[in-house]
Amino acid sequence: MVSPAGFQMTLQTQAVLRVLLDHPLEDHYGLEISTAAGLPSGSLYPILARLERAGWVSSDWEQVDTHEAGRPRRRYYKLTPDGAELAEQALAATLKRLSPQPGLRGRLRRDGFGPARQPGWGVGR
Amino acid sequence: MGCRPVTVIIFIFTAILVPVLVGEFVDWLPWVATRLIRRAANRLPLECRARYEEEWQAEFDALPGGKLTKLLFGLRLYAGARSTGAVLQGEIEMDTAARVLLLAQMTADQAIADARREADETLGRARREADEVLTKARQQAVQIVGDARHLVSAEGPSARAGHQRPKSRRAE
Repeated sequence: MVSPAGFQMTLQTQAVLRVLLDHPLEDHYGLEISTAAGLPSGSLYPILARLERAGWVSSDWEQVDTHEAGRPRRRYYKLTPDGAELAEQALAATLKRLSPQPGLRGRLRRDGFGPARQPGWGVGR
Repeated sequence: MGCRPVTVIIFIFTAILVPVLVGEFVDWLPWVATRLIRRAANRLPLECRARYEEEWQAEFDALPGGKLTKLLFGLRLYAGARSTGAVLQGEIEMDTAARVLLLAQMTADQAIADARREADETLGRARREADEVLTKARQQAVQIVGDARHLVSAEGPSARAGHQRPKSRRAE
């Protein structure tokens, strides 16, 4: 399935979007997203790059004193307001597409063409 | 029963050398992973290498687990770097296309502005010249009218009467 932004809405992309949508106002760094989405680091960055290119995600360096923190600064990712909306729509559309559709018999019964449902044992007495 | 030299060598190798070699190899794994991260960053377009190398290095430092986990992290990054690079390359190409388009628009705008300025200058020059011609023509007209009046006044009343004769005749 291709999203309106022009990239493939793969299961991995959906997993990343779900993680970002769970806390849309918070900043997430790569390792955190990777762990939460259950993706290896090699698969995560192409997805983040695609989402960033499409404008769904923005990234920025952590504002931290590296000497005080005792670690290098991290790159934080966040959904943009438009991205959050589009991601919700895309995930909802995927969910709808994957939900079971009524078969022919179900549709006929719904439209009043099917046989009347027989009461089971002990029902209707 | 005495030990054969081969058995002693095998014992020394398995009991002492193998653990030492394995320990040495495992100690080198973080260094290998760091090199892999650098290699992975080098697979990206030049403009993005520094950013991603710093980002991945920070994640590598935050990575929980042992030395083998760090090596796996480096290997996975290296494997996925080509795909990341392709996405970023596309972005750069789009940026380049946008820059070229912007430059073309700026050049076109400049050309239009130059043409307008030149046209305005030409129009201004033409107006000035036309004004000069008009002024000269007016001056000449005034001069001719003045000369004519002068001539009429120099001919005297007889001439004026001569001029008025047909009028008087008509009156008769």
